[in-house]
Amino acid sequence: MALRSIAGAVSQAVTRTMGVKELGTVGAFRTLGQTNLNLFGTRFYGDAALSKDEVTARVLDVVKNMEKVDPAKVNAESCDFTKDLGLDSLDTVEVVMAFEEEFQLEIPDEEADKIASCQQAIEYITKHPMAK
Amino acid sequence: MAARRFYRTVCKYLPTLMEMYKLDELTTMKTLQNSVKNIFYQNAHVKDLNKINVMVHKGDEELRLLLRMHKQRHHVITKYVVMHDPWKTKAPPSGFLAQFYASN
Repeated sequence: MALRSIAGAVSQAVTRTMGVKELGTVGAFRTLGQTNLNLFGTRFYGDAALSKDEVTARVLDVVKNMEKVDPAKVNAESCDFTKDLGLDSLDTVEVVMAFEEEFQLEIPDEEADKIASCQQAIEYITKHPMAK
Repeated sequence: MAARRFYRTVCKYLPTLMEMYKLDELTTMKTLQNSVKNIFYQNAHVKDLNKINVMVHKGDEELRLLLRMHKQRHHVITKYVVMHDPWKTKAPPSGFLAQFYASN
């Protein structure tokens, strides 16, 4: 009897605390799930293309983060991968793949072979309509 | 050059291979990429175009084998995942003995 009452008291206490917590989380979920913004029928127009400054900044960041590259040598105007930064052809391939990953593009093989400096990369990416 | 394009193809398939052979328990993408790159560098001295074409063809064949899982995990590990081989190199000595002698 005593044990049962103790067990009952304990379980009640547990459910009380648990219940409060559960209500809290469920309530939070409910408010997060519903949004009061009804966008049905509205249209948005905007320029989806990236600006050249943004592209330049991101390209330079990507090149600076590569392991074999000395960040001090990277400047916007003259960074040819082979001549200025001292990368070999396989490293160039890796840099182009890093650009593909950064801007979520798929660069075909012929175009990727042509990209040999930051400037060419910036030009190609700004012309690409799908760059993000 | 063909070797560059082949390296590009290999790099693009590396995540697939890592998932297929469950290599993420053993290495990271970067180390795997570096070990593949070293294999390329071992043959970097070859200048004859025919030899380079044959090597690229062989590499392409190897890639196809791996992608269709005709090889097994231990083949991939032995060749590409550089691990500490106990028969070839010694493990770095731990300072246990020096401490033991010094304490007593």
